[in-house]
Amino acid sequence: MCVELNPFSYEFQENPYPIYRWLRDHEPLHRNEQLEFWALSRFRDVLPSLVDWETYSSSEGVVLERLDPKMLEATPMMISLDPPRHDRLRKLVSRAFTPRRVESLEPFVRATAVRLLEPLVAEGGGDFVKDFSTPLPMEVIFTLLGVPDADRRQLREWTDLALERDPDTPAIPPRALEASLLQMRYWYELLGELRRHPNDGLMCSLFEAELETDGGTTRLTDGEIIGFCSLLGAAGNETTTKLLANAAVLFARHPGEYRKVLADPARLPGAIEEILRHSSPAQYAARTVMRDVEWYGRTVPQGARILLLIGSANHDEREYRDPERFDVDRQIPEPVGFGQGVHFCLGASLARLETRVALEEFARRFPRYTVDEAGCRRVHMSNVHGFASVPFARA
Amino acid sequence: MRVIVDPVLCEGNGVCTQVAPEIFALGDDDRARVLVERPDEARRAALETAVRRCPRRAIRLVEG
Repeated sequence: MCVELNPFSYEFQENPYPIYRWLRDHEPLHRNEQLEFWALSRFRDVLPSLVDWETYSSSEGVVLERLDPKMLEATPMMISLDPPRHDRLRKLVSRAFTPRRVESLEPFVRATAVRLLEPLVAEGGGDFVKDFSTPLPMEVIFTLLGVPDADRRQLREWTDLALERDPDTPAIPPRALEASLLQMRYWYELLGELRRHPNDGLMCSLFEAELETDGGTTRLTDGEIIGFCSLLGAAGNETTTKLLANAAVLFARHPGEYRKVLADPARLPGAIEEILRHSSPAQYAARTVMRDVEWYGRTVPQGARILLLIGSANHDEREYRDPERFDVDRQIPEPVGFGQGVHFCLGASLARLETRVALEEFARRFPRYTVDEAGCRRVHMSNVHGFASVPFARA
Repeated sequence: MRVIVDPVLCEGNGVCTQVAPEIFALGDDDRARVLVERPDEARRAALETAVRRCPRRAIRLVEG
């Protein structure tokens, strides 16, 4: 038997775990000749590679599909940059996302969650994704950035569409390219508008930010500001939405685990780490190999693309006992769901806070609920796994 | 053995302050402070755990 890993296969996205397991057992360094990439799947191989940015560079993007280098340069994003440029940019926004700063957002996050849940309570259910896990992170990140209310829904739709992929192919579909251009145009227009009429959002704080250079400091270019906003906008929307809905589906499938959290809310933070391990929204990080590297007797040549399979590392039986089991009390000493090292998810604290508060408020109103599994639909994105629709009802 | 926290890399995730609260504390600027720069050899195991678990890999142990 020989298994091929194709991250664009809809069947793979439905359930990637049997393929990951085969790869870990039989081909821990995998080669896909057709799509021209390599992949590492074991926890103890993925983790140090995520940390080693000098060997595994992000400079050609972190998804498998080829991104237009001109676009990468026009709106530089720290996610696809290496140190030192990465660190100089990240430093400008990192203070806004520390656990302590993020804690101060809790009342706002809670009020937003409660407001969004009201109609769902009245109806006795709804679509967890459309009605709750999509609008909540959207309101939070766009409020932080200073995006006007009236524009949020449209901007989010473009972000979503820009990430959509057709079955089996890494070719970026025209509708995704168009959405991505519309989104960029919007950010340019907003930038102009906010320069004339500033608000207290993060975008405006970047106008004054001083970027370190080799010779001194400089202001950010428009492209750099837009790179930041589109990156934070996309990251803040897409992954938290998936994490929350994965939680709703997992708890519906494992009511015993849900009851443990209901009985003892102090278990929720641990449960969130387990959701992130069991059903990680970010399934892989792509890198470019900067020097020849040896793995399992084969050489991955300099310049090759390699996928670090976070989703597989999270299910590695060499690291976790009975990894397919969803266990809210599992100990996860070295989580990799948010990455590790210089590119460790800047919004990890915010994602943890949003997920905790959202699930606390949801659980209070829906201590028993069922998910209509046949009605669930998945998203089809390259490295983000999760649901586009999760119908649920009070039980 | 000396403990060093890189102030650029540290983003105050607070993992080290949980693993070894007698060695690390969070400062007002949301960065980890080293309370005991040259800790006792008995603390080595805890410090190595802190180094390994820091999500930003911001902690270093320097011998001597």
